[in-house]
Amino acid sequence: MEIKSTKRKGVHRLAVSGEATIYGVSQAADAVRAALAGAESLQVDLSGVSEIDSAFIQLLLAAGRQADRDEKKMEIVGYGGFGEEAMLVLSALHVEPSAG
Amino acid sequence: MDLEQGKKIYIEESRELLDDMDQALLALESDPSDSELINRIFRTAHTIKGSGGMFGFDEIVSFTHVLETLLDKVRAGKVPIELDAKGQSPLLALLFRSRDHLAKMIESLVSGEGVPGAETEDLVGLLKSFSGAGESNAPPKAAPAAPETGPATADHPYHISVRFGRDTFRHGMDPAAFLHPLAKLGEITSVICVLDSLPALNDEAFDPENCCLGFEINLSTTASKTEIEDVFEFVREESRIAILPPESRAGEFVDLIKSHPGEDMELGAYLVQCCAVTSTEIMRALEEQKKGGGLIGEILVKQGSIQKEVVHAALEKQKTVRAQKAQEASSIRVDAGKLESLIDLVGELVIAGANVLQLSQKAGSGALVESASGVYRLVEELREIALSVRMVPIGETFTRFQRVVRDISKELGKEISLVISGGEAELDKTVVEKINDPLVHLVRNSIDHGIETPEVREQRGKPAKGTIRLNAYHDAGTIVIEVSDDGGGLNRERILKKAVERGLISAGQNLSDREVYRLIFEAGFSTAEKVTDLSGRGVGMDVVRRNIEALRGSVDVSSEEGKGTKVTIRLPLTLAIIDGFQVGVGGNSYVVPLDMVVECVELTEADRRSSNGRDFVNLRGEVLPFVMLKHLFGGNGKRDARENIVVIQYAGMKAGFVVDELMGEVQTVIKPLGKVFQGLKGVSGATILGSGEVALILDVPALVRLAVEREGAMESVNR
Repeated sequence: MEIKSTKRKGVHRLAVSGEATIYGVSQAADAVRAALAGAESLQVDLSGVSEIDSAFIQLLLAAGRQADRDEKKMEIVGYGGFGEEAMLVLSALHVEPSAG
Repeated sequence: MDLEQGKKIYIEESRELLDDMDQALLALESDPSDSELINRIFRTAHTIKGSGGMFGFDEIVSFTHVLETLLDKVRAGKVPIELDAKGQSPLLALLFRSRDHLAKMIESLVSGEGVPGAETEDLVGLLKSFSGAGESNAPPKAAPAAPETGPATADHPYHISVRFGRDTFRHGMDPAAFLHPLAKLGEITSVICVLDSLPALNDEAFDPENCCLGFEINLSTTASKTEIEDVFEFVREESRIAILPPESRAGEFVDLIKSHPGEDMELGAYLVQCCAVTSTEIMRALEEQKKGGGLIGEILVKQGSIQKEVVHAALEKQKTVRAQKAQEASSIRVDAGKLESLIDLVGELVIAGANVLQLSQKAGSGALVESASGVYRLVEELREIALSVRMVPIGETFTRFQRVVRDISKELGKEISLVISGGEAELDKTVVEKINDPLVHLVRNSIDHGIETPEVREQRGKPAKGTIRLNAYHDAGTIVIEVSDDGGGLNRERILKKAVERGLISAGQNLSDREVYRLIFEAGFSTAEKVTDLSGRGVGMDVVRRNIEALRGSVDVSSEEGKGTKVTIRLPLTLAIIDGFQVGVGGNSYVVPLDMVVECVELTEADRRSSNGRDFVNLRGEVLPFVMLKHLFGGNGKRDARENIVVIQYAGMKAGFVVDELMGEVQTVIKPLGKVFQGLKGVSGATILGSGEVALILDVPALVRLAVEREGAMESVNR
């Protein structure tokens, strides 16, 4: 898993690529924490993700909760080619897939 | 099996089944919607038919078959039980009649007399017409039943609730991955991800490797609960999983449980066998129970494993099965003759044992006395048990009266309810059998003469519905049976008038209420203004009294005009062996039932003097009438310097028997007196003592009455 972090006009963008799974979840957590701390708005781009699991989705959710609490904006801006089930879970998360 | 023997059992069983059918019909009358009752009636008819076929009782089989056909239709709801404006059901009336007819057919097997064929045909015609009506009128009901057993539809999905364990991720498990195999079982109609326990990213508690996820899933599937549970096999240890079957399935489970062959099992076992819950769910519930207590059914419902009504049905089932089991376990059919000889033998053993004990005491060998006492004690226990074998609760006899009351009150246009209490009081089977006829008489009397018609009752400011009570309880070695009603009561004047008319008493004789009421037990006495079918012919009450006295019992009546009448019957608990108290009078031995002995006091010379030749003493400020048994029974032997009074209590009356010698407790085997001696007053039987001597058993009711009446006479003279 790779996470590329870019920052433009107060918008922090995290582009995740590869296998977004339990194995990288701690690393990702640190990256998300850092990104949220330094920006007003966070965009997570999952379009490069080949596989995602519940642990990673859970992380995104916890991040979402944190953003809500800090009154910051967080959105998912791209979905990779991961499986149906993950989509099911994501849809269950009530995270509106804003972009496809 | 010996055919005769089998036939006997069949008749015996059929009688019981018919009793049961009667009870069920009565219950059905008050609650026509209870389908379990119809089932019960159907089953009894079915069993009678089935076993009847085994013995080739074709008439019974063909009649029961027609009855069964109708019952089956009633059961299926094709023939409804409809009540008319008066709350009567022609169908139920027919079922009652059919039951009675069936009873007649069974009894005819005993008597050998045939049953009038015309009546059978008549009933068969009626039964068929009812069944036929169901055939044509009822809408085809079979069709809509089918979908219920079909697959769960989208409207009724399984509800699966999963909360994954903390370590799910660490164990390499992905919650989302379970959705796929679930989707294979059926259609996932909705998934909600539950994140209640998920902290925010920066929270101390947040650990990205902890799993805080849960799902609420609706799944439409035909799969069983176990199949669904298997999907979660690898996480079920650490997760909480609840699979709630669809509502539609709940009904199915309830049916399954109801039709489950009756085996006594734990509640959980039922639910698992019917696939309502899985064994894992039960295990978890049991663990929960171990930790926190509570009822397994409630825990299962709380866990979301099952609907409440399913647990309810299972509990009901468990209860009925247990009740059945209890009944089976507590009854073995034994030939009454065998029991009779057992009791006889035990009786002989008691006498022989007493003899051994006495001889051993005479021989003066300590060891011999000890072992003889040991044997005697065992014999005593054996006696207790042997007698208790014959003890049956009177309740069964009582419940039969429900039907009697229902039928007669309908016939007479009276509204009467029968209230039964104390049905658990036990007494000897032979006594129960013999008391039935007198009770029927008394209950009929109450219905016929006691309870007024609804109109009269309302005029008198009483509830239109009359009440007859049957009550039983134990009291000092006797059983007391009360038949009471809240009817018009006895009319003292009318009884007196009639008694004078019949020459039972002379006009102007001064009698207490009690004495007046007792007149109704005299032969040829009836106060009913009109003679009906049922009673009032002047036979009856005297027969009742004779029957009861033949059982060494007594009967009494109390009444309050306008309020009601109460007949009290007292009977000895057993006719075979009793604990007795042996006394000596004039060189002879007599036995008093120990239960009736209150105390023994000395009759002092001072007492004798102060009694002034009248037969009563002052017992601690109380007047105690007594009977000098020596005067009554004679006997040689000089008067001892000391005499004793044995104080006896019977039916609320106290009296003393003056005796020469107190000899102590003795087990008494009651031997009836021969016909020649039956006219003897004051003696109810005889017994053989350990020494081989014969002792007479005192007729306590008669003697107490004698003493009390004498005292009463004395008082009225003094007045």
